[in-house]
Amino acid sequence: MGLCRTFSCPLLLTVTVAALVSWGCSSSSDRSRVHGAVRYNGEPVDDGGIAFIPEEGNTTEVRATGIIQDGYYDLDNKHGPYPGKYRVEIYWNKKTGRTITGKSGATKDERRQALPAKYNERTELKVEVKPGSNRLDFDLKP
Amino acid sequence: MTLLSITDGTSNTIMIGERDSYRTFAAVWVAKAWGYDDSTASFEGRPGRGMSVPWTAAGPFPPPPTTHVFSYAQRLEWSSTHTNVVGFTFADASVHFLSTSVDADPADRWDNSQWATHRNFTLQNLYWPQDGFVVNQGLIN
Repeated sequence: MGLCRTFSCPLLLTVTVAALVSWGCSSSSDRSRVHGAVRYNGEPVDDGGIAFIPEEGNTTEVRATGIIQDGYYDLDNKHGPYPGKYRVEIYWNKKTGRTITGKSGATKDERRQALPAKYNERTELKVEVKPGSNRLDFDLKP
Repeated sequence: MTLLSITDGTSNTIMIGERDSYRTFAAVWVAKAWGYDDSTASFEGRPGRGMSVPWTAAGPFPPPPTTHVFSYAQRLEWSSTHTNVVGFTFADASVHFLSTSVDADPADRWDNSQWATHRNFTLQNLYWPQDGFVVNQGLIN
């Protein structure tokens, strides 16, 4: 990480050098861990998904994605994002209270995505991921 | 599913993939589901929110289970006891190990009946034969 920092700040670089540096940075050990609690209107997001999508100007195009379970997510340093600026998409597949009966007769809880678009498809959530472990809680309001 | 229907290219499309016998029911190579309605068998690999999706290590919920978990994200996932990779055969019969860090759509729910939108995430791009998105080959080993 120190190596990447040193090279990417002062723009002594041709495009070729920049490409080499960003390639050099993409070993999995340079990913950061991100983890934290996710609540909406005070309620834990019990079954959902989360994505860290690089913002313009980030040195990486790699997206980091994972699940939210029982109000918590944890992307370890093999699955988390590289350090940098990201927008975050969060989805919650919330139980509607109804059950669905499948073709075989089996039943399951009906779930629907329950978070407003400002937290996913048109997300306004932005974070900066630092090297190492990042505790990032999302206490979302309606 | 025919060769001609794989407009994204057979080398960019998953045919079957691995499933472990630790978190899920059996060590089998599961086919992918070809569409919304034509079910292949009980075992249909789906991209969902990723491969070898673990239970998160902390938080107020039970420790990692040793059996099948009835979560949307894990019920039909591809998984492996290899470290950080899962084996796949692609539609051109080539074999690849995909990193479990390949991005997957956070909105995918495994629930095909309510899943109609294909968005630009790598695992979904490899799964859908006609999504039209370009696969970032740098993410595939």
